[in-house]
Amino acid sequence: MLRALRQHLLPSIALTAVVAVVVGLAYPIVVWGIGQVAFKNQANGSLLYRDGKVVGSALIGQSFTSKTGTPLPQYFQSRPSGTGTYAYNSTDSAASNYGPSDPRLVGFIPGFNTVGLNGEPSATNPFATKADPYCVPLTKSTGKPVISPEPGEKYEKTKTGSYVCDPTTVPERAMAYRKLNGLAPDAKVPVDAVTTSASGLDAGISIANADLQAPRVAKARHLPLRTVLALVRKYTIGSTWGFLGTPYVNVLELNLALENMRR
Amino acid sequence: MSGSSWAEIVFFLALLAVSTPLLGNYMAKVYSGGHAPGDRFFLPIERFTYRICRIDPDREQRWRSYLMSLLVYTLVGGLLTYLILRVQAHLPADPNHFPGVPSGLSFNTTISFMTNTNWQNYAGENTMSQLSQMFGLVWHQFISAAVGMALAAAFIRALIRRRQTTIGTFWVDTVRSCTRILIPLAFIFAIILMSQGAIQSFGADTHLSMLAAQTTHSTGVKTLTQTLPRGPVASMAPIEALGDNGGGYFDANFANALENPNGLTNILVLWMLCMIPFAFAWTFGKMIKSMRQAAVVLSAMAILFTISILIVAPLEARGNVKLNYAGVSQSITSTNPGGNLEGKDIRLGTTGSALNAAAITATSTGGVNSAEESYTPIGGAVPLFNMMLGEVIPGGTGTGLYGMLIFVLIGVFIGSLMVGRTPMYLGKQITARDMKLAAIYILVLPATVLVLASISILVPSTASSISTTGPHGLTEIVYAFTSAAHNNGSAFAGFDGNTNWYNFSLALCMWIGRYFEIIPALALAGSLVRKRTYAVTAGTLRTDKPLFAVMLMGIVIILVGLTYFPALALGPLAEHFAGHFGL
Repeated sequence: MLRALRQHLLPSIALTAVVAVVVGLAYPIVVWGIGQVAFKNQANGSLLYRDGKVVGSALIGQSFTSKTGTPLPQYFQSRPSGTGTYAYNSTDSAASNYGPSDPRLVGFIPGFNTVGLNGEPSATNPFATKADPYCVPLTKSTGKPVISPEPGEKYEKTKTGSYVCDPTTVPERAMAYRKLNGLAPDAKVPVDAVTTSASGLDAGISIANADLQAPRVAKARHLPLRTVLALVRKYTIGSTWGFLGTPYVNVLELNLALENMRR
Repeated sequence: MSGSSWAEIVFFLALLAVSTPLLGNYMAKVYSGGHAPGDRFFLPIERFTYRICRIDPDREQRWRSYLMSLLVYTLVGGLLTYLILRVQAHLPADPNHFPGVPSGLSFNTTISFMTNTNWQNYAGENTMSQLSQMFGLVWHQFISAAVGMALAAAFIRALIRRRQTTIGTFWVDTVRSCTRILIPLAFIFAIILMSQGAIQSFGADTHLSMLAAQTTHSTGVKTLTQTLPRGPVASMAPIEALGDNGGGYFDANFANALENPNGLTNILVLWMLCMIPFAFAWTFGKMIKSMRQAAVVLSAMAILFTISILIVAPLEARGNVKLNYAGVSQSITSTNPGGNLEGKDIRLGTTGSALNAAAITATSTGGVNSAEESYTPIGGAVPLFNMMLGEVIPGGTGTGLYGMLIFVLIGVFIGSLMVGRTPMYLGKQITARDMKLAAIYILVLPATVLVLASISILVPSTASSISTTGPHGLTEIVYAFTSAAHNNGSAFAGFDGNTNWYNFSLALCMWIGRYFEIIPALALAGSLVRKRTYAVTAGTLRTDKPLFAVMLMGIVIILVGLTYFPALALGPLAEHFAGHFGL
């Protein structure tokens, strides 16, 4: 027993202490030291400033909405976000984690994932409204979108008697996007504009998405469209060496530049 | 898929083709016991470590003693981490004043990091203090990886040595894995990641009002404030990848841009997590002095690995057909990356994300950069299947190699019986006892996964952990237990594992998946090392020919594929075909 103790336990404790000090303290502190000397901006989170005040990080996206959550037309809008509690909450990075056929993502598509009010599979969407054939209603008890309707469940309704649809499904988001940007009802919407990112903190949008938003922003800011488009090009970040990752427009940097033009 | 996507895949495979021989040769020297590069620098450090830890580096161990050292060592580290997590509020480096981690979650997290799983039932940025992350968790990320590498080295020695009893010294193998491979590589990559934007900053988080709030004078509105996290992230990310751990500083792991800022760092991360497992197959060839034997193992790993990439990447680039109803443009153009972007960050793109999904599950990493739950049904089934294969294509650091070698032994046994020959591998006769150990090794995991997943489905009180209905809900549960048992750590993250039942059952799963794999593997090493070798004759099944590589891949796919097929058929396959996702 004593021999086993000497052979296994003493080295274990000693080596735990040694390794913990080396990799748990010395290693991160040395890396930190090098960062503070050589890459001060990057190592501290690539912060962006306006009038000496921090407005964010170039790597972390933000919401450009009013107090009540409506998109502000004078700003390029970021991708939808699935972070905890509220959008672009950078202390709770998360995706929506909806499956590819989840009604909360794709809506109730007739003949695919629709269920009748009685809870049985149904060929039509019982919640369909004229505006939104893929409507996913909100339950009255929790206010959350319903995945699988159950008999006797109550749903939120508008004053006119139609169902209130969950505004965060892709079909609803696509409609809202078209409305905000003055696009035709059948206009194609870039996929990044209606889907949430993995981190929920995506700093970027696609160039196609930015181009569709540019006329609206130009109008709201009384700027010529080409000035806005030139700024979009300026804040487009290409993929590394042309093929690692995809090119995107950094929304916060772009909006910050627009804001700084005003002065 | 676009040309740049193909270029990215080819570039990634090319990086591995470069690092495998270089690192493989170097590691063979590290574990062979003779002179190795860098001795003048590393030897004094190692000798000093042995002296203060009272380790006799020349005293070799038999398998039981090797195992005892391993178990005691990881247990001591586990207790330390559990303690740190529980009392983090009273320790330094807790600038955001997080309270101690609750006992169930601490238990689950400790087991998770001890076993190289890194399943995370918590969001790091709002649960763990900076000390807990860099001291409590990173310690295990180094050591659990080093232990896996030590085991692989011991297993290779068992195959080389004849009529001996010892398989090396646990302490020496572990220390050398750290000093000569993991620490230097992690250090170099930490600097590179940091130069690209990975954060390495101590102190309290930065509180700010978003730009929209500052310009419209609605500051102080909660939904328009942001708290930018700070912490030792750049030092954690490289070992998270190199050691095939996968436990990130942030909840979103490699999706968070403060951990993985751009396309370049993404490919470096992918390279890091596949680097050591592939190199180990090369090391194996160098140490047994037969690169042809290694070529069989390496090619089986590489072919299955590449196939998994070639399934996921095009599926994700094609997008989710169910979004077409809403008039969403998913086709790839020069201005629109397109594809299934739900749960993917745009800077990484669908290809950078798909590569990650395949690579983190083919190795035992699990450090996601995209939400696997939102992948197309088959796109999400491939990562699940990669894990089910037993983490051998190429698997975790070291664990992948000895796992694959056990599949080789099974292949030799089956192949030799089919043609009526004596089963022999590298001149060593494979006996019934060896096969029993190998059978335990391959059966423990499916049995654990399927039994615990079935119990979870049957117990009504656990149903609230599933985020959805139908086949996708089943996939969530099966994915969780597969990931835990195979020590992977990735998840269909809609699933809520932070409940009493799942904290406990997943921890049990991880524990069985680690130690009930290590014990039979070491016992097998202990049996192999005692054997004499026979000359290879015309009557021996050749294990250094392409035909055997095909046989090996067949064994890997059939043995585990059939075990899990019912679960896969009811989960992702049902979702795919019932939903007409098309091919």
